[in-house]
Amino acid sequence: MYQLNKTAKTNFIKTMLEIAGLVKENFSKLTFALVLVLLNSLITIFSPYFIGLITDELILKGLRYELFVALILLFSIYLVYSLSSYFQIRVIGKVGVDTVHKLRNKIFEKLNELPISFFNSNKSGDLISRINNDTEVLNGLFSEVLVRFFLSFFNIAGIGIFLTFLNPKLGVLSVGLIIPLFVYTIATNRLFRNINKKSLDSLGSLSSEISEGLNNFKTFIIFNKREFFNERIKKSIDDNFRKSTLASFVNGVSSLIYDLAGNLATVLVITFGLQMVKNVEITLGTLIAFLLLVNRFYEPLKTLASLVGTIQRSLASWDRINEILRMETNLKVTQKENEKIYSNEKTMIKMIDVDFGYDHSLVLKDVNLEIEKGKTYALVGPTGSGKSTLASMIMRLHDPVSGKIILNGYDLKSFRPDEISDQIGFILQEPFLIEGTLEENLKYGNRKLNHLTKSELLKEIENRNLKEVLNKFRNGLDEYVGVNSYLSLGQKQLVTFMRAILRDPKLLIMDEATSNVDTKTEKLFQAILDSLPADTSKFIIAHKLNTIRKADEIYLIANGRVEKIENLQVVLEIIRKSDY
Amino acid sequence: MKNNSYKPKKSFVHFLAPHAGWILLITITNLISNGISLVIPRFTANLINEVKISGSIDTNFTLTWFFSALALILILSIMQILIASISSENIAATLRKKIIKKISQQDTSFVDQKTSSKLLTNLTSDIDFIKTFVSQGFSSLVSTVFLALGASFSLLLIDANLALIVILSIPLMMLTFILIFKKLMKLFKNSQEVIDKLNLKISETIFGANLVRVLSSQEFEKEKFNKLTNTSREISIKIVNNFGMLLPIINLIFNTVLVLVIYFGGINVIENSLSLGEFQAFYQYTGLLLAPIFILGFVGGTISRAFSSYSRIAEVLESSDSTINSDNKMLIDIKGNFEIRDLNFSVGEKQILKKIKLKIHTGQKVAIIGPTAAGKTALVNTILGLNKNFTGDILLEGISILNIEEESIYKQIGVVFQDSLIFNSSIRENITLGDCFSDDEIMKVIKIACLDDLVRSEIDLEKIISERGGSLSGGQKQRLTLARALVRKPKVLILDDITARVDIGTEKKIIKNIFEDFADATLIFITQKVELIKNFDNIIFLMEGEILGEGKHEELLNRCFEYRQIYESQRNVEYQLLDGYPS
Repeated sequence: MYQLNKTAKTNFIKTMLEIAGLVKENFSKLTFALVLVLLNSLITIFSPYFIGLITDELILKGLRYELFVALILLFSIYLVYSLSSYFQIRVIGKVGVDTVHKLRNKIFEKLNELPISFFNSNKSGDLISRINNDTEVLNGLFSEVLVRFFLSFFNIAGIGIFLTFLNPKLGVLSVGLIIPLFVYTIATNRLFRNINKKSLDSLGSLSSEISEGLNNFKTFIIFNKREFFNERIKKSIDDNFRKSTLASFVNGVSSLIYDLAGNLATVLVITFGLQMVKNVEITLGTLIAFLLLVNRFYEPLKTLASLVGTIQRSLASWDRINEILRMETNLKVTQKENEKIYSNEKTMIKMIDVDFGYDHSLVLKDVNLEIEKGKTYALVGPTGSGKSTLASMIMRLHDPVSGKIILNGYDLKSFRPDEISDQIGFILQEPFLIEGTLEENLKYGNRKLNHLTKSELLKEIENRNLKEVLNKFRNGLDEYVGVNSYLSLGQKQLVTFMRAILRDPKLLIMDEATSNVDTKTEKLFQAILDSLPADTSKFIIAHKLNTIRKADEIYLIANGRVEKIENLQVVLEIIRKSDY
Repeated sequence: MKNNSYKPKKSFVHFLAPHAGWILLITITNLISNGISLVIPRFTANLINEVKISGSIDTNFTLTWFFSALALILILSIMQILIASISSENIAATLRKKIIKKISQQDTSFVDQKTSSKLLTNLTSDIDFIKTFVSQGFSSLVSTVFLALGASFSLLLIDANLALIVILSIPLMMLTFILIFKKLMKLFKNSQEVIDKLNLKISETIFGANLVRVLSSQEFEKEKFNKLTNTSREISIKIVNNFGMLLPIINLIFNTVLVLVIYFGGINVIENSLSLGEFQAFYQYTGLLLAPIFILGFVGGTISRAFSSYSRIAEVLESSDSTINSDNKMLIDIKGNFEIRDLNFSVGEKQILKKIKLKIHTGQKVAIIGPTAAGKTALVNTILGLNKNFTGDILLEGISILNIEEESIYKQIGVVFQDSLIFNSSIRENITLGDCFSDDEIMKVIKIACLDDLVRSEIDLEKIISERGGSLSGGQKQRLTLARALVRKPKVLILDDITARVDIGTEKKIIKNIFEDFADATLIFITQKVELIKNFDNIIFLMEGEILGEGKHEELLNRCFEYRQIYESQRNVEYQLLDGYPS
């Protein structure tokens, strides 16, 4: 359901309107810029006439002083021209930049809003390409194409009307070609757009291939697979080469049609015009005037033609962006019930008949589980049995297929994500650290500690008995823990543990949070867990049985079923009996 | 912003030289197509003149001429478009392959330091800018020069004094260009650097998607991202503003020259030292001379973008190959004899390995145990040649690893890392990495790695795994990478804490399988669990980068206090289960 890369189905006009919507609030600025554009085009059109006038009326008549004055005037006009183009570029450029800026932020926000399953269906490189490259393509549309498009359009319309006014028959003949051109544009839009989209998509998958290759670079080296790395990406490069070449060829050829139409119009006017001259319908003078104007008509059409490729590319980019923006999270927050649907003061979490599965097969069936305040729970089971899945449902990273999860008496779905994470601390199996120092990582996502100074944070750390964990880092809070820090998995787990404890969760879920730390540290963690407030519930997933010895209740998960086990001895019995 | 501008050793021209053929082709076809586009208007103009003079024309002749001209133009244009598309895309593809080839010859530390997000920008948008330059910028540049030279020559022929005014304005325009482009190039470079950072931020958000949701840190992410896009926005606006300065200034200089030409030319005409025809011709040629310079203003952006992107790409292409200097490196047969003498390794000021001394013999089962951050992973990475700047000797079969071909090491040693790196492809490809293995071979290692829960039969091998193994559990990912190493039947196996996320039963079974099926292989096994390694031939206890003890389990218990401490702390119910553990 979160799969991107479907072909575009939206129509041309609708897309144009959508894109126009992006610059809606800049409408007045764009109008201002357009007025400047028109002013400049008037100057461009009329200054040759003015110069002709100067030649005929002043130079030829030897009027030196008047020539001087006239040229001062001409210079002032040019000065106005430069000033106006200065403002025009600035205003339009800013609109383009702002639109890209807004779009990028919007897509990024969307990415963070969508559920985890979105990322399982899409590749990071492609998403990066959509945020960076496709928005940049649209920037080109706003900053360059828009104005020239409208200007050419005005010119065409103006000259067209003038031509028709001059001679309706010839006018319709020369301007009439616009209609088949328009039909052609609409008709071929989908085809050309899809070709462009495929080219952009292939750039996206090239990015994906590159980022996946680079992120797994160590594997290629250690398996002596440098060549394989090379070949894999080469394949994507070749694919991108084919698709982009096709797109750039098609864009070129499709704009050729507009060129051709302009030429055809000239031929038509000449042929029919001469016929009309013969039939004395028009004078030769009219025909000459006509031909001159038809040539003028042809210029903006050429400009328009050169824009066609960019426009098609932009539309395809917009499709790719819009695909993301259109998506909605399936984890909507529902209206909170007026009354608690389950009222037991002691219970924090209750799962009732919860089923969960991917595609069509259920991973978890009929899960019934209750987490009471202040108690410690352990979840054990073979690898791949769905322990993490179960835990992530409590955090609402996924919704159950059926059944209900209740948090503090209300449906879990009625809590905002931040309300849930304020109460539940979750140490993920994969320790993920953000680029930066230990301090930044500990403050990350923590609204209470985010604005503390270093010494204040240190105090909070001491208050929660985490000082000893912190001491394991030579540079303390200033320790760099980013990509280039060579931190081991165990060390990363120290950070994620501290980060979770510092959030003062009411329920702490630990998903194999200590799998790579040594026994001594594990004991330290245990002591810290024991010193948490008495009403803190703990939910521990672990393979090391000693980490769950202190659990009040133990659940075993196997073959999709979750059952409560009386005590550790029984767990051992079950493991012994199983066919391991 | 940090500005460590890289100065390429090779010039941009030198860099493009291998593509000269393609570039020439694009340029020539572009010039032809520009020429063609002038044909029809010129023809119409001639027609008008003819009609003006003679009052009539030969319709049939005109039409035939016209349509054949149109047909020719159509054919030539299509050819031109085809050539231009193929050649510019071809250059882009070739450059991309060049960079990828370069990266493929580097160490892991190269990718870590350059960061994958920057390399991604290099391979995508930086190349695109160079492509734009080659496909559009260069030919405009050439036609500009041609037109300008021709026009200046004509001007000089007509009136040398007047021509001086025009020609003198050219350095002035050039100066403006240079001043503004200098600024622009820096800005373009900055803007590409922000793109690097945006890439990094986006991939962080994607890779850390779970964390963001668990902590509800969307606001934090948004803030950070907005900060970056704001920087990007500021740079882009500066770029726009510089362009906003450039074009009007050039325009003004151009128009001022026109006004001057008209004034002085006009005076000359009045004084009869210049004919009206010459005056008009002069005026038109001035336009011809200056218009292309004006076009250069548009093209200039493309050029300076390409230049700044080039210096970024050159930084990658010109870095020295870290591995492929195989002059005195040899291919050897690895049996599993390691000797390490006085090995020290530091990252920055932090010394990670201190004076390591160690011998491992063929077929030995060796365990490395020790607390978090003891340097266990660093030790095996160094033995594998992944850490370069160590001191001391690492000998494999008596030969320093510095003198052994990388191929020898990695083909014969199987490694499984702590972090399971998984590809977005089928299970089969995740195991084979493109090599040929029979289904039987694959299914066998699947059994050994206890991956049967994921792969029940051959059909499951084609199952596609999502990026970074998002659809697998942590334990499944570990076992999948184990299968990847085992299928190659390595003579040495290095396993870094691979059973951390696997349940006790499976863990036990995996080790039993490896002991049975890889009985002859040398095994180096990193773990936290004493009980797993009791029967190993040699146990190395590592702490804070130092070997504190070495020997068999019983020996270490007596000799090494810290080892004993760990053993005692782990003696609980869990491991009693593992009694009767295979040897």
